[in-house]
Amino acid sequence: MRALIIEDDDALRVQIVQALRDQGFAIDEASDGEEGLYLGLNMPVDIAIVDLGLPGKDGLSIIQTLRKKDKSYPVLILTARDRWQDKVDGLEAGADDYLTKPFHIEELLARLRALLRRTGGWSESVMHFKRMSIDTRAQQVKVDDNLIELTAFEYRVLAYLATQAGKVISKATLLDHLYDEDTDRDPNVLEVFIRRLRQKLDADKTLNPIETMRGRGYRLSLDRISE
Amino acid sequence: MQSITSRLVVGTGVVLAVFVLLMGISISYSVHKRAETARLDRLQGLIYGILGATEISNDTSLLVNTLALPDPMLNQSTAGIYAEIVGSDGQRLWQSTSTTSWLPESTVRPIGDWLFETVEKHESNALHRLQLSTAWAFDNGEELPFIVHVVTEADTLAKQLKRFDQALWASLLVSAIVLLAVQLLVLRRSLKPLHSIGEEVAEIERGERDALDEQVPSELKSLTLGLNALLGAERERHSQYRHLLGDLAHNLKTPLSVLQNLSNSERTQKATILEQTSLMQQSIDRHTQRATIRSPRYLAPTINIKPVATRIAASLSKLYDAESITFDLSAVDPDFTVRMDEADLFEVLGNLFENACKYGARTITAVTDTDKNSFTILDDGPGFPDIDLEQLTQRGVRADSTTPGTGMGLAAADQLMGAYGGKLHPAHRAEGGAAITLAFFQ
Repeated sequence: MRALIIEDDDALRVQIVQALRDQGFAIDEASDGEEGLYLGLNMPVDIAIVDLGLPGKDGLSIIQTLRKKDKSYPVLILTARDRWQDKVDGLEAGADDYLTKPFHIEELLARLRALLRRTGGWSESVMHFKRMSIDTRAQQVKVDDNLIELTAFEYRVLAYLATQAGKVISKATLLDHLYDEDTDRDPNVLEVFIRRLRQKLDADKTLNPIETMRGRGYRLSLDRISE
Repeated sequence: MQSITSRLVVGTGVVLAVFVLLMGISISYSVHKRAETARLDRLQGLIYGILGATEISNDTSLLVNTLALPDPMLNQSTAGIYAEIVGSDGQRLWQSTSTTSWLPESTVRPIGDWLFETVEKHESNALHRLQLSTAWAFDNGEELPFIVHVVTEADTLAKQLKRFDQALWASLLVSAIVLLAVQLLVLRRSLKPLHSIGEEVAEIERGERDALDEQVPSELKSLTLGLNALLGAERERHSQYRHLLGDLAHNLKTPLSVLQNLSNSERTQKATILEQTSLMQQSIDRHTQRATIRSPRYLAPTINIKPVATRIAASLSKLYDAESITFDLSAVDPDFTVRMDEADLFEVLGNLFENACKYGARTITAVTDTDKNSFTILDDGPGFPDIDLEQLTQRGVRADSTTPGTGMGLAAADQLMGAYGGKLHPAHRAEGGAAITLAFFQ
C-alpha cells in the first residue's frame, strides 16, 4: 500500500511516516500543499493523510483538486480543528474520514485500515476468502485456520492483492504500491517473493491463491466470502 | 463628543431663530405694504371728497364748501393733512384751513392723471402727496382745468410703522424665549430615560445592580433588552470559564502527577504514558469544547435548520456505513429557522446525530414542530439506559460505556442550547430507541 502524507509539522510527519513504514506502507511525504498536491496527482497513491492548515495550498483545496482530477483513493483529514462545521466542510470537499489532533497513532492506523477495507468493499478488519483469511489489524494470514508465517514484505504483497481481489495487477503497479520512490526495484525479486508466497500459502498445491496472467501480472483468484 | 442635549438645543435654537426672523420679516413687510395701500386709498378718498364739495360760482370760479369736506381734519390747523386746488396756470384756487405751512408745488399733468410722490420738506420731515389733474366741464363745452392735491406728513405713518415693528419684534423675541424654554423642558423629559440608563450602567459597573430596568419607552426597549442579554451572556461566559479552567487544572494535575512519578518504573512506562496522556487529552477536549464563545440569543442570527441537518446527515453517512444507517429528514419543515450561530447549530446537531449513529441506530428521523419551535431527533437504537434522564446532560455522564467517547456530546449540546435560552429534553420512545427534543428559544 502506498500512502501520501501531507503534514507541515516535521516531528508529527516523521512519527506518522515511521508508524506507517512499520506497517509496511510505501510512503510519499510532503510538508507543503503544493508539493503534496503534485504527489497526490502523480504518484500511484492508495490512501492520503492531509493536514488542513498547510503552507502553499490548504488541505481542503488539495482534496477538492484531487477529486476534480478523478483521484478516488480514500483521504483522511488530520487537523486540530474539531468543530462540526469544519468536519462537514472537510467531508463535503471529498475527504472520507476526519481525525482531530491530538490522536493516538494506533487510532490513525485503525482508521486507515478501515478506509482501505471500505475501498475494497470490506466492512470488517478480517478479509475472508475461500479457505483463506487476512486479519488486517493483526497482520495475520490463515489458510484452513492454520496461521501462516509470512515476512513483512510477503504480507504486504498478499494484502495489496487481496484489496484488489479479482483484478489483474501488473508487476509495475505492484512495485509502485509496495516500494518507496527512492528504493531500487527489481521485478525479478518480486517474482521470487510471489513464488515463496505461493509455497507458504499453498504447500499442497490445492489452493492456487495467486494466478500469474502471462505478460499482464498477477491476480488473487480466491472467491470472497461476504461476512 | 457633543452631548445629545446640546446638539438638540443648538439645533432647535437655530431653527427657532431662523423661523422667528423669517416670520418677523414677513409680517413686517405685509403690514408695511398694507399701510401704504391704506394711505393711498385714504388720500384718493380725500381727493374724491374734495371734488364732491367743489362747486362753480356764477363767475366760473371754484368754490369749496368746507362743511362738506370729507375729513374734518382738513379744517384743523396742525392736523398733519393738507389739501389745495391749483389752477392750470399754477394759481392757488383753494386751500384747506389746516394748511399752515409750505406745500410743494403741484405738477401739471394730463387730465385724469394721478401722481403720488414723496417730497422732501425743507426743515425736516418728508411729505406724501397725491395729486389728480382734472377739469370742470361746462354745459357750453368749455372746461376749467385744475389740480387737486392732498398732502400728508410722511413721518406720521413711519412712526406708526416703527412702533408696530418694535412691538412685533419684542413679542416674537419673548415667544422665542418661551418656546426655547418649553423645548428644553420637553427635551429634558424625553432624555430622562437615556440619563437613567446611563446611571443604571454606572450602577452595574459599581456592582449595585445586575441588569438594566426593562420598563423603558418602546424606542429604548430593544437597546435595554440587547444590553441585558449581553450582560447575561457575559456573566454566564465568565462563570463558565472560571469553572472550566478550574476543572481543567484539576483534571490535568492527576495525570501529570502520574507522569512525574514514572521514572522509577520502566516496564509499564509506555502503556502508562499512553493512558495518562489520553486522560489529559480527554480533559482538554471536554473543557475547551465547553469554553467556546457563544453569542447571546438576542444577538444570534436566524438560521434555517434543514440545510444544516442535511449536510451533517450526508457527512455522517460518509463516516458511518451509509448502507446501514438511514437519515429521514422529510418531516423537517424547510422554513424552520432558529436563532443561533451556525457553528453552534452544527455542534448541537452534529453531536446528537453522531450519538445516534455511534450507539447503533439504523434509522434516524428528525421532526420539527413549528408551534413549539422544537426539533426532535428520533432513533431506533438501544435507547437510553434506565437512569434519571436529567443526569444524561450532566458533564461526562455516558449512556453507554462500550463505545469510545468522552460522554460530552449530549452535555455539550445541552449547554449550547441553554446558552441560547433553549432546552434539550432526552426521552425514551415507546417503540424503543431514543428521542431528543431541542426546544429553541421563542
